Amino acid sequence: MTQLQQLRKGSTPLLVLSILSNEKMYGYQIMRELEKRSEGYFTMTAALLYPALHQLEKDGLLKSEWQAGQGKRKRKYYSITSKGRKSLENTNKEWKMFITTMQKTLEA
Amino acid sequence: MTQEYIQSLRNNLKDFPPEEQEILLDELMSHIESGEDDPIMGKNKEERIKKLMSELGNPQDLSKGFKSIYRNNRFIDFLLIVIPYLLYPFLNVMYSNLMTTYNWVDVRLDILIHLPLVVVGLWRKSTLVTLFWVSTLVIQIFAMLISAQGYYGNLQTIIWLVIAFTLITLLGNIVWHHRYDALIIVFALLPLTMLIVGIVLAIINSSADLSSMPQVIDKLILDIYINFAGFGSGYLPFYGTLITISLFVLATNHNVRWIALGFYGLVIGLSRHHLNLFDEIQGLMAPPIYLVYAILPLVLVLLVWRLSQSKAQTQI
Repeated sequence: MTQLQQLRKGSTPLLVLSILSNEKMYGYQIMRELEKRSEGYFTMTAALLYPALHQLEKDGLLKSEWQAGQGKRKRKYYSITSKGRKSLENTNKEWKMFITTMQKTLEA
Repeated sequence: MTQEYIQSLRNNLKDFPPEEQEILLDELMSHIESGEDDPIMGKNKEERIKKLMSELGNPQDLSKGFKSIYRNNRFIDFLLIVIPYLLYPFLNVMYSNLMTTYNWVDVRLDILIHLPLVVVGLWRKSTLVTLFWVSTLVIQIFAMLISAQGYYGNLQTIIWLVIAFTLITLLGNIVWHHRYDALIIVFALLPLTMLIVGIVLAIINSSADLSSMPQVIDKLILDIYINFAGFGSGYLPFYGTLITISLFVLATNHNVRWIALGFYGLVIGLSRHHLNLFDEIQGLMAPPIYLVYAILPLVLVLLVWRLSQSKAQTQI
């Protein structure tokens, strides 16, 4: 795995929490939203997204519920919990600090 | 193409309980359905499926991801079963030595020492640890009460019965929760079933027909019984249970776990844990009783395995 791939994998929980901070979504919808917000830069496979969603749910940062969708099949909607919001806030701060420091260091 | 993906994912998730498997597969099938209907994915269905497949990634990677979340505690489960189990012989020696001075140091202490393991199993949400210790303790309590024959008095007997029935309720609750997982149901109910079978066989012992079974098999079964099984503390029950349970807990392959469970059934049958109790009270039983008891658990495991396999095939 390249460094960039590792960085992308590490940032998956933060991206997912951020996307779900405003509204509940199902897996496919999260994928499309991520693609839209990052203008196609972040493309995620199901193999990366779904285990991340399940892990976040297991950690209590997300909760899920099955709801009837437009099609025949039900959809599993994920929404952020209060614990998830706190985690998002903290990770966001850390991430911003990391980027700022990284940029400063590289440009020095 | 999408059907092949789901089938491949199903195969990779084989060691998950069927109920969990279906939930995970449902979510992925819903993902596929959303993609197939989304015009963003392509002009026609073929184009959409092609893009969808590349987005889904490798089913093996996906199942690995799920396994790392839901199946990462097996070794700790294994230790929580095996270490206390290995301590049994040492505790038994200790009880025997202490009993000469303190008459309250008997099987009751053993049960009380092992009760917290049920709590640990529940706290860790470990089905295997909880089930193993619940079924072990329920059998121990009933064995103790039957062999004591009123020695502990009414109040204590009632307290022990309350504990036993609380544990049975817990066991029933776990079994209900895993009602679609034949492997867990057999693992949970086999020891208790054999206790009940033991009681029933002991009751019908007097009417057993001694001449109906071949002498060679009778002799073989009794030889195994006398040489390996002993009266409750022989090599076969101890090491047999240890090896088969270790394999059952640690193996990730569904079929290997069934084989381990089959041998576990064989060990239960040949060691005749729950018949020993009645042997001690009313003497050796008729050989056909032992023969039925030895073969029955293995037959039960094989039967449920076969049934669950044919059910899985009809689902596919």
